[in-house]
Amino acid sequence: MAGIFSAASFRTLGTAATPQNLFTIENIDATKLIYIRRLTVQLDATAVLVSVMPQVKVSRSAAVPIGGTVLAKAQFDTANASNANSIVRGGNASDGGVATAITATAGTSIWQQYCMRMHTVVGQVLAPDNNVLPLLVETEDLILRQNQALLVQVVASAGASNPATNHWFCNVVWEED
Amino acid sequence: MAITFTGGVMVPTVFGNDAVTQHIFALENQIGSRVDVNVRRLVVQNDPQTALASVMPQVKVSRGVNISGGILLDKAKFRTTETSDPFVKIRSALGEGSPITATRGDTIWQQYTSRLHTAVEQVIASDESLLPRLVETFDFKLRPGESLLATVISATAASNSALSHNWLVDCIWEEDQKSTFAISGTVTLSGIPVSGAIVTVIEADDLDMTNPVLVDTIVTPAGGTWSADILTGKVGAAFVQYRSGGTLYTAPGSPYLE
Repeated sequence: MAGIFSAASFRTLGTAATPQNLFTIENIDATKLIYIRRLTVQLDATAVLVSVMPQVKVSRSAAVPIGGTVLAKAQFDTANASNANSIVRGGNASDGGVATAITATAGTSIWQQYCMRMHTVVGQVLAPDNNVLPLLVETEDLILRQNQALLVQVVASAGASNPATNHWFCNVVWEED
Repeated sequence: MAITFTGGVMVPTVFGNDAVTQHIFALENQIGSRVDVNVRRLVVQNDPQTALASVMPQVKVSRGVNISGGILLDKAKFRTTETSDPFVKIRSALGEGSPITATRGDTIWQQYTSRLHTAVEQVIASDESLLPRLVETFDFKLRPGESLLATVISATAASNSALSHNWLVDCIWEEDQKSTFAISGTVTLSGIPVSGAIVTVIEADDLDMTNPVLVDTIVTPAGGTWSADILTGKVGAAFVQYRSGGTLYTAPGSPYLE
């Protein structure tokens, strides 16, 4: 393996639309593989929502994503450099900043997750890691080959269920060979 | 190589700073270290005491640079037979008087903790991972000259109020000894070995003496011999001084020992 890397999106506001493309990771390299080892989402929703909360769904996107903001990649070991053909995209370029829409079409869902909602705005709000891929990808390879990508998408029953008072971010860890 | 130390550190409570950026923790593996640091666990907790109806702060971890300030923390040992490298330093902020000054790098991982939308009922303070749990088995490595920095990033200054936020950080790491090579010699005066001479050994990244570090100051024993270990890939240099009665001696340096 050529190394382990991670990336984190900026805090991204809900778009009051459904679906909302939150985050992608893609491999456009003809010879190198990407192994996803962890993919998490967190949400702080600051407004009341008395209907069902949005789901976060992860799928292989139908084509390589375009648009969005290409995110910086961090190294687990600075002796290893990430392949330039491993690309991570987020939905904006600064915490809480203006949206930079990712264009991607969801495929068949691999995993999904509820995060949280405020039925009434009372009491403490916790923020656990929401795994949008099962933890077993730490040891069971989920592979992205050339021109394959994972898409993290917020799917709400109504646009109003994902307002701008929803504050999302994503984190990912992957391995490259 | 070999794991020579496993330890932990506990950051004393750090109050919020009424600002949008607050560095609360740094783990530095400074130039001169003989180890790589593998971080095995890094968690944050927060006890917010006043209501915050807007988005809570994020805690972001990066490879920070230009780190100074704060207070240096004691390193706790898992095994008392082991000793941490003195160039591995842990820093935390302490109140308004001792903030950490640093420059953030690219975000490695980030985490919300909690907020009180209204200040009622029980408040839970769970461990929130500032690096993914998989660093327990996948090495997250800090080589000599590298650092890890945890920073609270708030949407507004009021979101990290000094009167509300109480931050804790805990960290566990291993130290993995790096390979070295030996340099040695004998100090003589008129062909006779000298005891009591002072040999100063310096290590640097390259022949231009970039990032010089004092490795050791050795007082020669009977026989005049000395030796020191230099990190593989670096260069060493040795310089000798000797005083006998009122006479001071030195010797030409032995630079560029590779």
